[in-house]
Amino acid sequence: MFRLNARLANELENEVAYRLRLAEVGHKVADRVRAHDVMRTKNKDKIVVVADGDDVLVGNTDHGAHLDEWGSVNNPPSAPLRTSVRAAGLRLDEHGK
Amino acid sequence: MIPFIEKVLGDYLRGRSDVSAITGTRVATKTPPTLDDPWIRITLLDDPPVGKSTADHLIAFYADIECFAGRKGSRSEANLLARTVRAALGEIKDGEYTETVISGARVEGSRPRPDTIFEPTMDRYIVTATIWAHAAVGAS
Repeated sequence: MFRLNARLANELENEVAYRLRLAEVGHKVADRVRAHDVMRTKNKDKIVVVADGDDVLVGNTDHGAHLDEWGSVNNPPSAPLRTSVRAAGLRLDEHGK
Repeated sequence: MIPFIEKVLGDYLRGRSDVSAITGTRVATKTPPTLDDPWIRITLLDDPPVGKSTADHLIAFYADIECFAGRKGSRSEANLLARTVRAALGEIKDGEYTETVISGARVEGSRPRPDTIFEPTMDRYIVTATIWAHAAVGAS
């Protein structure tokens, strides 16, 4: 008899293999961000990947990162983080937690 | 060919009385020459084909629609413009288009992102949306 494990997702998230794979995906996203056209002249070390508890965070610590991502009056957004997450095949949830 | 979605979306928003009551004709893909009054800037961020088909037909256009308050405007005015755009996107598939079919649209998010280039900061909301569209039959 099949019994649904309602806690399957939580149990998987606690597996070491899952966390390692998630970190790999984070690094792949970071690589795509570094390769983004707008950022070719920027310091690539500014793109960071941090494992924080259950989450893997990919961020851009460059002081102009918000201008690349969201644009301003002088430049339209190029959204390197958002487009890189999507290009990696992940589903981007813009509503966040 | 796939639709020129920035034009389709720009024409649609400019043609809406609720949008033009706020922006007039100031809906474009670039910054207008004068910055006192509200305006909308449309930027296409991505345009992948839907699903795994190799046909370049039905596209999930992913775009930022920036709702600027203008130098004379306030956060509440930028917010109203963003909410008006969201409402317009809810009806975009019911619009009339000559060379494009719009299957649907989804607002992915809408958030305040003041433009700090200005002193003082100019209020702005960014509406991000996915618009599914393809060329109409017979369109070039």
